[in-house]
Amino acid sequence: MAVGGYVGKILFVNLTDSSITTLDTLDYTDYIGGKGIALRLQWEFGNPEVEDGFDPKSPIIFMTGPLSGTPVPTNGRTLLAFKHAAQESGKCYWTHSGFGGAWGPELKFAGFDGVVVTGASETPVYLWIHDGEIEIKDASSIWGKDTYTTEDSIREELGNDPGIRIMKIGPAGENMLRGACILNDTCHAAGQNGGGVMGSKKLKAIAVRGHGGVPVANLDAILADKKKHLDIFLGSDTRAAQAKGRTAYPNYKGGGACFGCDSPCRSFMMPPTEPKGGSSCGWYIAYNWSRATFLGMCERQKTEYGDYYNEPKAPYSIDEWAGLYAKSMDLYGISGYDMLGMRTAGNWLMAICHDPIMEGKFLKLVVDEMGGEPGSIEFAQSAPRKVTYREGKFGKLLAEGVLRAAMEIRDNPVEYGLTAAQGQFVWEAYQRVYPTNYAVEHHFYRPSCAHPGYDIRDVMQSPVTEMLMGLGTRDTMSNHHSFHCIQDDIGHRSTRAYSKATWGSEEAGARYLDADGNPLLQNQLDSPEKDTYYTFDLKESTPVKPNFTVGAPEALRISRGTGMQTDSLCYCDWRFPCIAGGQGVTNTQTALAELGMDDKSPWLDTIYDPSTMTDMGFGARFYSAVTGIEKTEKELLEDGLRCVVLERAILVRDNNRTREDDYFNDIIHNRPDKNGITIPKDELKKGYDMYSELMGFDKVTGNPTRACLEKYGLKDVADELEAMGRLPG
Amino acid sequence: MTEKERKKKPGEVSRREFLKDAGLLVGGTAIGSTVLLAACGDGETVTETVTQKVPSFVCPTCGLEFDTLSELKDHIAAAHPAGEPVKYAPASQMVQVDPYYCASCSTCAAICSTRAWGESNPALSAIKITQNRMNGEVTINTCHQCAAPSCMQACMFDAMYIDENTGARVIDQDKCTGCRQCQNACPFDAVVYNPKTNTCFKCDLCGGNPLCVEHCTAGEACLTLVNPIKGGA
Repeated sequence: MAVGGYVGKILFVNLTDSSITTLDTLDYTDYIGGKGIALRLQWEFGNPEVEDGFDPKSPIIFMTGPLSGTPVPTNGRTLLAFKHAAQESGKCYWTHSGFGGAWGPELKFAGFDGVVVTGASETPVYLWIHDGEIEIKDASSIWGKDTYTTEDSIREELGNDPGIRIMKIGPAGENMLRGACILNDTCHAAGQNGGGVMGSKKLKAIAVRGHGGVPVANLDAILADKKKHLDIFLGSDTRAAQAKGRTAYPNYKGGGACFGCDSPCRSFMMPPTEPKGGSSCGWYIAYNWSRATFLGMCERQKTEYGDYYNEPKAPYSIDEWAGLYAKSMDLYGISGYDMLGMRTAGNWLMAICHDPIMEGKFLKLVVDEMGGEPGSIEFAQSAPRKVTYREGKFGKLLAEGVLRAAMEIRDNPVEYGLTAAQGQFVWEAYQRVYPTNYAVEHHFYRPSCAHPGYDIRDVMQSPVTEMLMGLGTRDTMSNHHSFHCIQDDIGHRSTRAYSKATWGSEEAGARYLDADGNPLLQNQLDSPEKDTYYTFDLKESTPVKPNFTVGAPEALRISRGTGMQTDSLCYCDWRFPCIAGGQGVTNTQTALAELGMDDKSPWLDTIYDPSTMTDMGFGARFYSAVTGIEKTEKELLEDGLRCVVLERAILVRDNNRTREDDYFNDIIHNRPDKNGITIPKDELKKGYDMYSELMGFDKVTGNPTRACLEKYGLKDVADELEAMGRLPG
Repeated sequence: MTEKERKKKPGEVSRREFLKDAGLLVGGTAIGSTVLLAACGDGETVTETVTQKVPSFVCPTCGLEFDTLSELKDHIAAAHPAGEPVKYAPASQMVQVDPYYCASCSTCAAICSTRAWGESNPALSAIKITQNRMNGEVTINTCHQCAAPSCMQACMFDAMYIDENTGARVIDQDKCTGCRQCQNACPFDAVVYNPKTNTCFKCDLCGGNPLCVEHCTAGEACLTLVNPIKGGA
């Protein structure tokens, strides 16, 4: 039985009546921790009748995992779960987000594995959790303050202890913007509108401090695997940096690494000038891509999607423009708004403004309202305030998120001085910029957003990734680190060995099938010298369709389970695949040199070295070492799959989700990739049919059957779904 | 006391040069000996040629060298009666920190506390990372393995000893009474008190292979095992 990893209690706070109770964590260990336990708590305490996360009856859950706060590498993630508030009305799914830092570990040191907050306070409050105690404190004096000032004020009020960890919302969350996020420390952020949900509860912040410990069963076993991490992969950043005469982590600013991380992403994401607040990875992307935009990287995209990027205007140089742009993006962090989501919103506006069909009307409207055209410094600097405080017509629109904004203009074009056809174009432009209904797996894979010049269909080599997107619940505007788990890696690592090691077969990694239905293995497609994700040099066979059926359904099952396992252990979902897949030497410096950028860029990246590939069993090994509960890789995967099944059951109970909701926008099906291959709907359906069969789901609805639920010990779930008439078969 | 220089004979290696060249091979024990010789020897001896094994422990009063701590203690008891100032041999190793390179991931603290107490708890770690969340400044507190450790001098219960292999100043958990005098005496805030066990704890160099150094995220840039006198490996 469990001896380590969990500290024993989950706080349950009802802000409506200020009641505080606790739950016993060990009652929930079948669900691992993190997202898994949050799922079970949502099943038990979530209200299926609420429309979205703004309803006081809808809980917001903060969970750590059994690895949080231990010597296991990259354990600093905290998992947040709640019902969404930004998705299409009536279809706000239960979703999750997360942030790094050390808030989660500190919560465990304070004696709690998680916090569930439900109800809503009448006046602004914040929670102060310290060494087994919790206080609901008045936040009237800090309500309305930005995230930075909030951090300062609370820390001062609590005695200036530098060990206190504070996660909080800014004005964007207080005003219940549908893209508001939660900030932790000064550089970690969680999106998915958790900030708006906190704001709806009048919950300004949660501060934690603890001096307790997390029991660990077997330190030696942890260190053996940890050493491999450091030597094989994570040391490579350090070594590459040292080879260039610097460390990977010089004079760390902006909040520092996540707890226990042995490859802090911030070390190579920190731009030359320091961000003030917000997610530093978002800031990094904003800075670097806005800079790269002017170096010819986005030419192709300009022709495909329209004119997304403006030239820097005098008197600004490229660097000055990028700096100003990044600083304005930083305003979102201070306000507590998802800066990457807003950046994509800007691209959506750009795609509309410059199209001839709009006859310049939309451009004039935006300029009048926002003080400049999308992409300009004027727009970038005025938008954060206008959106945060819902100023003007566009401020109000964008505050509701791009989906709702696009629907509003589509449905009421006259109010915006547009014709019905122009309103429809606005909607179609939304679909082009957001081609899926759920989160695209990575910042870089969002067309028109972060990775200029690459189309989503070209970047994602694995159809498994595409299938995963259809099953998601996160907002289209966000990225999903967890999707990044294995499937992303197999995309850009694309080797047969890696596919076999992670997905059980070489065929699963094949992107295409030939005319006879045989999978085209990656080494037939890729140039052997270039094992990177943009290479499609067809060597021997001609692809005719994407591979959704050979090995892919099993790969999808494994990916779903492993992704859930990662989110439940609260292992870093961004670093997890890199650790499994191994790493190589730095290559970004070379790329920068080719682009004419200087060698002092903060970028440090690596390319794949197959010899460093490790195995996927380290998750189970760490779990066993920390908790003392011996589990094999397969057993932990089954635990992950139990949570996958439960997640689907929640979507069935709360949203009556079926296969009808697992889909892409038509653009995904209609647009061929570089090799001229589109995604036929019937092929995708076949893939989902096979996946349903493997999972024990009903093929028609894609939902778990009683047999499946009972196999995973979820009889009570089956009974409740049956009583609702939503149990298939 | 300054070192006297004299012209070297052809082929002769001064003690200081030898130690410098030997670097990691002879480790800190040799350096420690040199400095103590300089401190209580007559100056002339400092530049002697070293051709044999460098002893680990040197009498802080007369400069005689011994292989083990117990031999040194016996010598002190016999040759230098009570009433003389108490001094100790310097440690052969210490964990040197450079906060400039610290990523503030607290991995060292998690490992240190887990090894010591079976639970990951930075508050009970012998290496303490503190970061100002607003400006990123990091401070790291850990034991300097002082030559004349005030923690040992403060201990009223003979609960501290010097590890014969590493020279680390160690708190004996069986003898410690939790009076916290050592913690109060430490100028580097490097001693922690565990209320559960009612004992104090400090860096014991993990018996010679400090896990914090081995697993430091920033590699050798942040944490290094060095000789406390020379200051570099």
